[in-house]
Amino acid sequence: MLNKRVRFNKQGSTLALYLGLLILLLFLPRIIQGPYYRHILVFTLMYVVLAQAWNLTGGYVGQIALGNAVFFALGAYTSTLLVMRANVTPWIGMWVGGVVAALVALALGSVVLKLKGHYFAMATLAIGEIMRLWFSNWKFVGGAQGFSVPLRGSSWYYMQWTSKIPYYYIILMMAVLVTYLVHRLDRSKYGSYAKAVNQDEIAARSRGISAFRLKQASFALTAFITALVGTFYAQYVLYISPQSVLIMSLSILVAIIPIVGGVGTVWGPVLGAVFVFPLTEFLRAQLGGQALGLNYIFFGLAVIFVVMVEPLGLVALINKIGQAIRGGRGGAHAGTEH
Amino acid sequence: MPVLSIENLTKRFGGLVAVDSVDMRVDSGEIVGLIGPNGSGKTTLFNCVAGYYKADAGEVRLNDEVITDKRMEVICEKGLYRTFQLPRAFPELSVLQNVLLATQHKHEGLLNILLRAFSDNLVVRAKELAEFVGLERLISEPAGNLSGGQQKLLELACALMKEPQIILLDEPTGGVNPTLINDIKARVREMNADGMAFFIIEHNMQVIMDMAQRIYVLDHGTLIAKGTPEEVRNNEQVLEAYFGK
Repeated sequence: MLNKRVRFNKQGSTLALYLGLLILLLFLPRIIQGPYYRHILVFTLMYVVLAQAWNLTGGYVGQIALGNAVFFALGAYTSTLLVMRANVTPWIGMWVGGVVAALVALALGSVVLKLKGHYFAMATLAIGEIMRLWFSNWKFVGGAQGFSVPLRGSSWYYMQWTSKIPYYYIILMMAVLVTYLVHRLDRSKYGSYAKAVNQDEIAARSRGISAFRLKQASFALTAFITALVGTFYAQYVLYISPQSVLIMSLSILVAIIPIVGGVGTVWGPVLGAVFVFPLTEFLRAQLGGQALGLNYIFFGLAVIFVVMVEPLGLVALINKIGQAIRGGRGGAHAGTEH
Repeated sequence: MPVLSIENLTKRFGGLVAVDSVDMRVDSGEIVGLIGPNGSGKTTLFNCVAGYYKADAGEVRLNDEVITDKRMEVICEKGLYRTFQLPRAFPELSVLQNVLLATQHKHEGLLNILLRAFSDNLVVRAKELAEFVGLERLISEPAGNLSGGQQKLLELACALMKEPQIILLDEPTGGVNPTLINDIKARVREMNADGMAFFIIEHNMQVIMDMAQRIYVLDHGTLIAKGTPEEVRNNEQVLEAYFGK
């Protein structure tokens, strides 16, 4: 009885916490004024989604991908080409881009997912660079100059607005939905199988789990979600080029965020994005052109910090602090009983 | 009727012939032992049968279906479950989850895996099996906290979860204390009484002589003797392989 009530209270308070967070996020653009700060909000949420996508392959089945810019670019280029050449609304273009990216991931995955550890990371890194060079020299996709998305003012059909507010709500919705999806996946059989494959692939396969199929599915899902964000980015910035959407630093950032936040967890990518992105953006803005690349030094330090202090990331750190507080309270409570 | 039949199986590592044209079979409902000095090729043979290694020659059949060179997970789903010399539980997952992972995956669609949790029936079954091997009190404990012997028992529960045709055990009592050895023996006997076939590598002669109906002896990759425990015990070649001339 008592046990039940305690559990109910705990569930209730978790639910209240999520609801409170959601309400805060809904009103955040009212609290935070100014285009620059709102821009940081939009980008932080964008990185939440990108990091969640990366985490499915990198965190759950444990294949560290360093070429996710490929899928990001496929999403951005597909929807942009469709709207420019065939006047197809980006609302449809984004799904086409997602499917294209997922198919490319399946094709690439059938080869590279056989590689493990560093080899897989190196292969995906190389694929990203190959595609950047290829797109830089391919006229059909605008070559090195890329495309400016034709301006249409504020238009739902063309998914573009002069204000940042609609973008904020679109990316917020994506972040909430994708986080919920990962939460569901974490609780499903997929969550258990993926963790098993990650911990000991041979043991997982000897229990009949098809590790390769699981990796393929994860990689395709990663690509699909990443490409959706690619379309969003193209519509938000209204300019894409190999230098903006196919850069290695994007691929690396979407990997660093979940590593700092906590790989293979639902909230790791969220915490990681909220912690890493605004900080790097702040550093970049403060230092300007004086110390180009200092934000990479910061990434390096952040990763070293995580590996040394808490390899499981911010999520584990927060859990530990929570336990310490609860443990302290519990101890005091037990003390009064005796 | 043979559940498992191995014909002319050969595995080479460079110049070394680890398993040299070996013929063996395990009939349904049988417990068959596989013994031999260290390095005689027992585990290599298991690895070839279970799909961990690709055999260089020969054929393995499970219930008359050729399974040679099929992938590990496919062979497992067809009904051949193998355990490892060093137990390979998932240390961070709970005992219950470890057992659940060994459920049958044959008919699981991808969407089912992505969106559904384990059904209540499976959870009940996994709990029963954990109880059967005596781990009911450790059910939510991470498997990494179990002792070596308890992990061997956990492997038995996992094997049963799969409902296979035959279970290959690689040294089920290696490094296990005598009380737990008796537990393991008792569980294997009970499972065998229900019709489960076993193929067991074992270094503990007392255990294997006591449990197996028939025994194969490997030395330097070749089959040097086979027969009842009594026959094998008195075989001169076997004594020579273990103790020298």
